[in-house]
Amino acid sequence: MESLMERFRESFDRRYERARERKAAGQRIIGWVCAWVPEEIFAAAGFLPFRVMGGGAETPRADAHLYSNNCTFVRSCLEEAFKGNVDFLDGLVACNSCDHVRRLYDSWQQYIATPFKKALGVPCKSSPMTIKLFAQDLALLRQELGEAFGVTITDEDLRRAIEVYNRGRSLLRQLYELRKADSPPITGAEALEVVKAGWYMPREEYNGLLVELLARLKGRKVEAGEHRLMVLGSQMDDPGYLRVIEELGGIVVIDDLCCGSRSFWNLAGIDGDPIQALAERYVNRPFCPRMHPREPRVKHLQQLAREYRVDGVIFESIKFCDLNAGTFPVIKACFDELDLPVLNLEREYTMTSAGQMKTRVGAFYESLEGRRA
Amino acid sequence: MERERSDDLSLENMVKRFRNRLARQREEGKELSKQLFTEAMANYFERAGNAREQGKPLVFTSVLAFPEVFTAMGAVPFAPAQYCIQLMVQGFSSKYIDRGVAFGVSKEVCSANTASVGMAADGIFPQPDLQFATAQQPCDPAVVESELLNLIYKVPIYWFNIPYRLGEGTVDYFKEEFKGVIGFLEEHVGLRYDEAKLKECLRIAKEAHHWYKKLQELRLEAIPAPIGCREAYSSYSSLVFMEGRPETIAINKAQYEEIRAKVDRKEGVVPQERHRVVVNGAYPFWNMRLFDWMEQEFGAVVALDFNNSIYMDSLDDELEDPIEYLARKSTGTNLAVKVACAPYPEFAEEIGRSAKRAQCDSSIYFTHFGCKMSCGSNKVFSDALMDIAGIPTAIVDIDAYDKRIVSEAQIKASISNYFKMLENR
Repeated sequence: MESLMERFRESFDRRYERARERKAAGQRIIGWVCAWVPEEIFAAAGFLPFRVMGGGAETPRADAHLYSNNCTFVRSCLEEAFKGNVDFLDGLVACNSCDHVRRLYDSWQQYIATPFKKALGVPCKSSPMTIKLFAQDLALLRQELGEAFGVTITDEDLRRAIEVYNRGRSLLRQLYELRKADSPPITGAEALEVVKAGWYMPREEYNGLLVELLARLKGRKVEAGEHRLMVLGSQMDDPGYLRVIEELGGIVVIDDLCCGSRSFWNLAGIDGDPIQALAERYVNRPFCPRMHPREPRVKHLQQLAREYRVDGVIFESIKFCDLNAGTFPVIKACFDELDLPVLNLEREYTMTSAGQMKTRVGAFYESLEGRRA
Repeated sequence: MERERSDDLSLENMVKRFRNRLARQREEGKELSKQLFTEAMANYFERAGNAREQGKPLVFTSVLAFPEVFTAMGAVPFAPAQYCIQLMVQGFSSKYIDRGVAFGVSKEVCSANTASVGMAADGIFPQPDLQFATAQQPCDPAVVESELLNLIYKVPIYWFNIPYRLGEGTVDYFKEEFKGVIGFLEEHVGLRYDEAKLKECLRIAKEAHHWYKKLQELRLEAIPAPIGCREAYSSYSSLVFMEGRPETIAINKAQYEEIRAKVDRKEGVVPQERHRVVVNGAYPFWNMRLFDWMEQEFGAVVALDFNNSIYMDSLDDELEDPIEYLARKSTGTNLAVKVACAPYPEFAEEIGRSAKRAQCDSSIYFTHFGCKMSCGSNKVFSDALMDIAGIPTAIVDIDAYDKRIVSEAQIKASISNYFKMLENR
């Protein structure tokens, strides 16, 4: 089991090295930022999709191009580009997810020499007209990719990619189902490592690993704390955070993160126009706070909390993330209805110091124990 | 001096202050445009305060919404964040920013939107019948504000999706959204769409827009600059608050004629203009006198800012289908639609070209702490201004609404150093 987990871990840890090897072998690679960007289109074109994430905590060049109140996630992503760590990318596709990512894209567009650059306009609500609007944007992306790289992306290519991605997402749903158990076979930190591995390897290969993982998890038990937790909020791709939470006496049984469940929760349709199917899938995926109205999100979160029988909720937001941190009252009201306590945790993108977080999480656990007594 | 009493913050008292100001302006024989603007603002706030007794639905909107559609339908639009900005311009305290934070808003969210939530939580605003929110424009904090106000008021809300990019099909998309808004008003408060009324509002908006553009073109070209930053903002404000109402024509026409006369007399804002400044980012609204100080101290007049019409298309005459006209107008002239969340590099280039045309020699970029959107583009704008117009930019930290974050002395020191550096070059 440990060697299998190591393969997931390696996929991320050695992502740059592997990408360079693939690039050297003739593979085209498209970077993407934010889970609203449909990877399927890149895969259908024969490209390797590669989720752009940050690296270290020091971001001197990005700081000079963005601003101190832009979140550490976007500054860290931009720093990776300035360092040349992602210079193998043939393209970058972002979207208008939030003020920070919009400005990340602007700087990338101006100062980074990635050959193909585009930002998608993701609508802020789900309706037939917004899905149609997003489908137009995706159709344009398909056309522009085709023109830029001299490839043709057929409907059949897209359907095949959708099927492969749907398969992977279904397997991840199965993995998350296992976490409903009284004694889950996988920790939250491990689950995050599994999910993010998929962004750096061909999906067919990833799906194979997932099948193997599900088989090996049968009968596995992990040493877990007594508090069943949900984690939600800003971009959190560092399992170290979840490890700290779990080592103190909890187990993360479910998340509502763009690097977690939100990235795979729903599937795309396989009949009809594949671009339309992708637009529907992405606009209708579980809402993050950039989507409105809030009611579908609240309902989804409450459903997750009930199904996974959580005792408490950890709401984390990266400093300056207005959409998450600003809507904390919505989250609080959502879980108040279920009488579930919420810890509001501000953090930076990279975990530079766990001390304060440990203190706050520890105090939260004490309050959970107090409720039980 | 800090003013803390909450009753000062009521709409009723806001109206009184504008009425008192109007009386003073008349007594002192101030320009007609100023008197008209003051009166229009008093009426705007009065309409919001009296909506209930007048039997008109009160609709809380995002800033930079589309007031014509509400006015034409017989509803009263009111933007809470703009109200907070107005209070802070008048020197009221930051108490409601803290109240918003106490409600649960992160302290890093824009202070105007946070204050709006604080005021709503404390019942300062009248209860709205409906809400109208745009997203993702104008910015994330505005979206957060709308969501939290809705949590407080629990009234039906219409979310208007503003596309990130404008292009083929955008006008059709806007038409559908506007039809949605009309249906929303019909469904929830029983208003009826009247095509003739919408046409009339748009005809008014078109004429007001015409005078606005003429004024701003004049401002861009005329040397010495005939109008200061603060005055220029009033014609913009009138459009933001009450586009589609007849008083906007009177204000903008009067202001144009006054400024035209100044240009003809070659009369500038300052006796000796030494610097023509381009300003980006949010203004320090709590201290708009800063611009007077810049004029007096350095002969520095703002010739170019977001109020200039550089982002605004001209409006055509075709009014056959008013919803389509509204869609075209919104996509062509609304700052939130055109600029707020769109990719910035192309706008930065436009600013650069306009700065060159306006013969600007200096540039100030106000980085408002709560505005990640504008702060994050400071480098893109600064580089465009340098590359296209050869102008160096001073980045000046502020909080646009909260005087506690960066003091007046600190702001003045940054600006002084910049102009001294320019003059020593």
